[in-house]
Amino acid sequence: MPETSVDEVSDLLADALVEANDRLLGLYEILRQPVTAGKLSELAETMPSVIRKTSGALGFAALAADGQFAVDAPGLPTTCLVEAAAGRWGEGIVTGDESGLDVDLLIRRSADGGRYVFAADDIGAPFVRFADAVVATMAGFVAMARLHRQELEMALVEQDARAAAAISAAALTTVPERAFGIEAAARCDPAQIGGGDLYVWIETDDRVVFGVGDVAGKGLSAAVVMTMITEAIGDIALSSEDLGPAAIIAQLARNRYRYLTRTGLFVTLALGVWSPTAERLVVANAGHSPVLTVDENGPRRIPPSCPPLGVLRDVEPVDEVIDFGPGTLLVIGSDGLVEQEDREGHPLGCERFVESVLAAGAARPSDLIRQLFELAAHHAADRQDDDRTALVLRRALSAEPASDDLVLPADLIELRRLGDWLYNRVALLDPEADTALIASQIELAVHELAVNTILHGFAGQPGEIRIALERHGGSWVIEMTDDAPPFDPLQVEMPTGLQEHGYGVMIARAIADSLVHEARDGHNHICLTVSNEPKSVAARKGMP
Amino acid sequence: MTVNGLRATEEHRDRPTATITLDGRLDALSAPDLRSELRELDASGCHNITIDLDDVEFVDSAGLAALVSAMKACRMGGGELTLVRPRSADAFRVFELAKFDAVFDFVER
Repeated sequence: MPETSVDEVSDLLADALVEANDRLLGLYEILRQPVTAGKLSELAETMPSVIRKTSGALGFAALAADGQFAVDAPGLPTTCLVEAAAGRWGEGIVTGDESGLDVDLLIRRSADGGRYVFAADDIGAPFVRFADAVVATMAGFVAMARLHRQELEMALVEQDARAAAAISAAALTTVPERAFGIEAAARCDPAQIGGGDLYVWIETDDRVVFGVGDVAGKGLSAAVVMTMITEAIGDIALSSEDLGPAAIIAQLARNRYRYLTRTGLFVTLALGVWSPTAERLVVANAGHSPVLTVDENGPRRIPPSCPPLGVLRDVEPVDEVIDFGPGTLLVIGSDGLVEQEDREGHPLGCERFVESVLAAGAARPSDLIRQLFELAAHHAADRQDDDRTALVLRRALSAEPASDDLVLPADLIELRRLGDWLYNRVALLDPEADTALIASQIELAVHELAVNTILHGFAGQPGEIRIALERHGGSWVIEMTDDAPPFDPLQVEMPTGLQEHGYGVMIARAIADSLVHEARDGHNHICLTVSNEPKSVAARKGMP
Repeated sequence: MTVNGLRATEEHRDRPTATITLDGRLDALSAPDLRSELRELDASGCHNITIDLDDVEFVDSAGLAALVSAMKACRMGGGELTLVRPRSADAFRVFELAKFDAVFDFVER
């Protein structure tokens, strides 16, 4: 073996390092390519050239599993590389003698089932190792690109859903619990990718126009159309007091036909008009379901009298006059409630929806809606396929005397009934009193005490709170009775500093002239008195 | 979002300031949802928050507690909580009764 000088060894090492460094730079060059889904096609054009040059190959070709072919092999017959990538010689090294080319080929299987082909004069072990490093790098590269694409798609879907929810929520109005001699409630729970359901409540001096609609489709496009339809209903309804629901629907269908056909969407819509002075309720239905009334004769569905908006330009919906006597109920839901499927794919169905309405009896509209939504959520095992929307009206029982006592189940949502009951009770007991002021002050005090009872007394257990209100001299006397384990809210320590709890009793004390708790006969009794001019208000009057 | 009669509209969530507009009732039923929204804002680094109570009709001590919590979180993060004063005298009275009318920074819409 010839002797090698130190200088020669240094040169060899330097050459090897330069060569190795070039190849490392080659891998680096591959990895530094921007991995974004939108640039995959661009990369397919540039990558073969990068790989060929940095590997020292004469040519490089890649055939993806989906048939996409990329090559950079100047001076070599492309068809031969295509055949190699297509599997003519399988994987491994193919000599020039076998392929008929002047160069050898190294063929490797890619991670996605395609093939890479390297063409070189002499394919030795170093070249094979580098080529395998390239293949491995490319596998990671493709995986990253796919992951990025998926994340990008998910982010876009989420962004779309958020925007749709915000647009939809902004278009929805508030429905008063009591107005024009009717009790009312509405609720819309959008699905994760929702945005198509709507409800409207448009009041004028003499009437209220209300309804529920559903834009076919989901996401941002449905939300935009939903907003447009909601605004358009308001514009038409306010343009003339003479327009009934059928006329509003007909005008809407005509005005928006071109827009809806261009967007490829249609809208189901049930609209109603309640005129309290005429005591007249009229409903028209354009392809919407479910719509039903319930009175002493039982439930009755109001079927569509014309197709949804966007199907025909000229429609002739029919105004249906509803016999809306005291206690009569009108329920307009959406398909997200009745068509909600369970885990086995069985829809809730109209029959169960109607059964639930009947089972609710004389429940307030807000309570009925809560029960309907709970039914759908239970049926769905807490999944939600579509927006859920309902609007419920009940003709108030004006002839019904106010109940002496209010009995509330131990549930925070039940406390929302307190205000109306107190208002009616105060008005009944003292027509001369400042009803709204007295009722609101008593409501706040009783509400705070009742929250304590529900959260700390019942602590999740079922139970009831009975509330009685009487007028004695210049004061209002409120008695609250519950059967929770003995719990004296007055023992709650008053807050000091900026603590986050304990203000409830403090507020009740600030309103009531006296506040007493007593545990007897297995019940908690709380008695509070509030003067006809509550001290909370009197104190404010005295403030500078 | 609309939860239990309280509607919250968030704006500018990706910027260091945010406005949450509420209507309806800010009570023991809806306050947890407001707290949840505020926690998300806090986690995202947003510590300058305006809560618009103009259309709120009823506030109870649980609602008040959620606002106190928000004020603390904003201050801890170096920001401020601003409240748009509710139009309803009934809704504002709870702040007076709990002596918080002087603690919060109220502005008119």
